[in-house]
Amino acid sequence: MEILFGAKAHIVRSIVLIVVGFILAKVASTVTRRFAAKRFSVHHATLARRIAFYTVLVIFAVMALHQLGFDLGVLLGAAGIFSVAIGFASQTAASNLISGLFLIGEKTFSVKDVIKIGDTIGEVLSIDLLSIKLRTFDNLFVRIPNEAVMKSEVTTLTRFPIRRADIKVGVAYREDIGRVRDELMRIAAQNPLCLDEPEPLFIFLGFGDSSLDIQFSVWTARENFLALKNSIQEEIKVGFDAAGIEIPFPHRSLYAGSETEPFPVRVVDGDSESSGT
Amino acid sequence: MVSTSKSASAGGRKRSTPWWRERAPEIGEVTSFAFGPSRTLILREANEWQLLAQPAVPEEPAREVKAQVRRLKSMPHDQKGLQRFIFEKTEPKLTVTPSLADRPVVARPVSALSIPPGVAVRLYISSPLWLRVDVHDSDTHLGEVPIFRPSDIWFGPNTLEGCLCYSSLTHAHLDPANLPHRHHRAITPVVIQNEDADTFRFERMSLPAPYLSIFASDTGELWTDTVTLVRRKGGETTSLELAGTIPDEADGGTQLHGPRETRSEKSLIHAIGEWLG
Repeated sequence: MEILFGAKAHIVRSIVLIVVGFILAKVASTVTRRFAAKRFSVHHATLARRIAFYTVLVIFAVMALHQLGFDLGVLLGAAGIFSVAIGFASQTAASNLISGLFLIGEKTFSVKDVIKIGDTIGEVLSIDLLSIKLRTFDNLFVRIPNEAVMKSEVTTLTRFPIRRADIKVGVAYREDIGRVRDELMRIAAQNPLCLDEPEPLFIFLGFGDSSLDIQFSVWTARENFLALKNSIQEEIKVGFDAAGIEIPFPHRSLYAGSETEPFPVRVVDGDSESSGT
Repeated sequence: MVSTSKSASAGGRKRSTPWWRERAPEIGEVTSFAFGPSRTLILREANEWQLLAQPAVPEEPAREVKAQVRRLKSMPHDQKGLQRFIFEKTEPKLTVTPSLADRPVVARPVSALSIPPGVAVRLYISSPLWLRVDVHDSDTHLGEVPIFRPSDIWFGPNTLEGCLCYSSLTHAHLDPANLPHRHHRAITPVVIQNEDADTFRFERMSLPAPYLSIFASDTGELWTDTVTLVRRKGGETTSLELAGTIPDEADGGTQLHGPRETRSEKSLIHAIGEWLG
């Protein structure tokens, strides 16, 4: 007891307060995490845990400073002046902080969602106070400030349970569009990942330079999106080949006139030369 | 006045030998379950069971398919998707039974039906089956494989709300005597009562397969419990009843499996509005 009330007692009490404060802060953090995990999302729970930890720690730190004899009124005054300077310097940080709160409140996306911001596509690892962290599909770590997220167009690819895959197909001008449509619908019906409803969509886009341009849109569950996109394009190629439907290369037809003779062509092969028309 | 179309008795249907019974394969023996082009093979070795499923693409409706169970000497050369289950020692007990789909099945009649006001009809709608593979004392569950992999379909008012189901075309027979013999599908009697003042156009419905039980009649056919839907005045479907017992058409058969999921009133009431599209 003497050690707590002796000459150097204030130092010891201060240290005890810091230690006790740290322990209680840990306990508060753990309790808050367990409570919040069942009721809130992952990032809300993390935020609540951090708030509980630092609140308890700051309270005990202030009590410890008081034990050491610091006049908290003077400290608060100095802090007020210091905060003005800090405010000017931390505009960006404050903007990020406030943006982060708005992001959490809006619930545009959550941890584990896949989002697209600009040219970056990745899975959300965390939504922190100043920034969000993404993991791209090639396993890169990307940090994006919250302010940039608030100002940008954000696409949440995993928001809704089903997605549509748009397949662009070009067929030769000589092909029968009705037959092409029937073949595409048959291919979609045979693919179990392709949803029967919403029904596949056939859109004739127009007369392209080298082909009749078609958009064939099929729906699938979002977790099957990549598998469907790969499988159905392969099946379209196989089905068109079997049905004799041509997917043409870009090409140009040259005419020298309405009743032109064929262009003369000379084939040069190694040492020998031959010519023909 | 509600008139009820009398259901024709299922009596007089041809008896078929059930394909679901306990078997005693030797070590090195392959048991093959074939349903048309679709087959599942199970190999017993001294320390492992091997399961190879080769489900075919979704089949046409109203096609008679019978099960063929054979003993083979070896697995096929193409073993893509082979599953191996390792044990200290295997026993010569193999039980393969039919089970219902793990998601709701959206049944779409080949031709839409119109049910006038005040009429109650009894339809027969079939749904695809899975093979449930158990070994030893039937408490060791190896897995379930679809006999035919049905297409996915989204069932809901829009692309944001709803659930992922399996798709099935049906002729919606009114007379059970006209039902084709198909060992790979179970028949559900569906009673629809139209108490509304308008004609009800039946274009699709979602069979709650996870909540149904599967029964085997003494003629070797597979049935589920009866589903009753009542369309109240104003067009709202507010009543969904699952009988929970063997239907009358099943001639006093036996229950093979109970429901996969235990239904709660809340979950059913929530889904009631969506059972009929």
